[in-house]
Amino acid sequence: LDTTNEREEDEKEAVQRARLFIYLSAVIVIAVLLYALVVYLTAFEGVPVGPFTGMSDFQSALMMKVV
Amino acid sequence: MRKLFRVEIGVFVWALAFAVFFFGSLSLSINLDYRIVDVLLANPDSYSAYVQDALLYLILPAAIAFAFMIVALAKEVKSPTGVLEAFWLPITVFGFVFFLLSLLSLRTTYYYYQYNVSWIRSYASYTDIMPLIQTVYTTVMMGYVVWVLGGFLLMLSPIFKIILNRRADLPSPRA
Repeated sequence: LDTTNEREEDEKEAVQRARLFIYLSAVIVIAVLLYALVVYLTAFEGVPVGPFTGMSDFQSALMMKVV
Repeated sequence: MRKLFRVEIGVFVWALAFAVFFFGSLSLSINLDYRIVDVLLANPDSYSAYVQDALLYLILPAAIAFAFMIVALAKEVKSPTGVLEAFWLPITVFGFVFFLLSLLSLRTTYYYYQYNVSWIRSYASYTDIMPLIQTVYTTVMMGYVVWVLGGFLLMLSPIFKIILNRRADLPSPRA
């Protein structure tokens, strides 16, 4: 019985640890993607550009924000 | 040490590698458009800086995360913890994001490679930097290929596990 209880506790602990790491990973990935989205949305303020500006403009804007 | 190589920690390592890849390769990918020709014409030795950046920010993080995840998946097959089944959706979404972004980056890099090569070939005096251009673009594209493969592995690993579980539940055709 003790062994069964220990195993159940181990499984619970494993699920909690897995949840923690998955949530941490989600926070990192979503933060990076949100950062890119915010920079993209604010990069062309006041600049008369069309919808197909190309990747290099976006990347240049990102670079200007980062550096 | 036995608890280190787990799928959830592998996903976390992938997320950290993604952050390094995103911010680290930013300056690299900007200069990989038509500007690389001017940079290499002005200073041909600067190609080593491109290769070094590609190795540090593209290939190294992905290779570490890839190796970590393969060991973690092998351990998961031996002693299943149920993480792949319980968190199949976030793991698949992460894999899809990595796969898609790196595939788009690979396509853009290949486009600029073709563009620069055709441009250099039209000017006979610029052909000296052709091997340097090829070295830089090959290294960068290999980095993106590692990311594509890693994203593909991450995206499909929970789905393969679920398919294997369902197949194991089915009765054997010989029985």
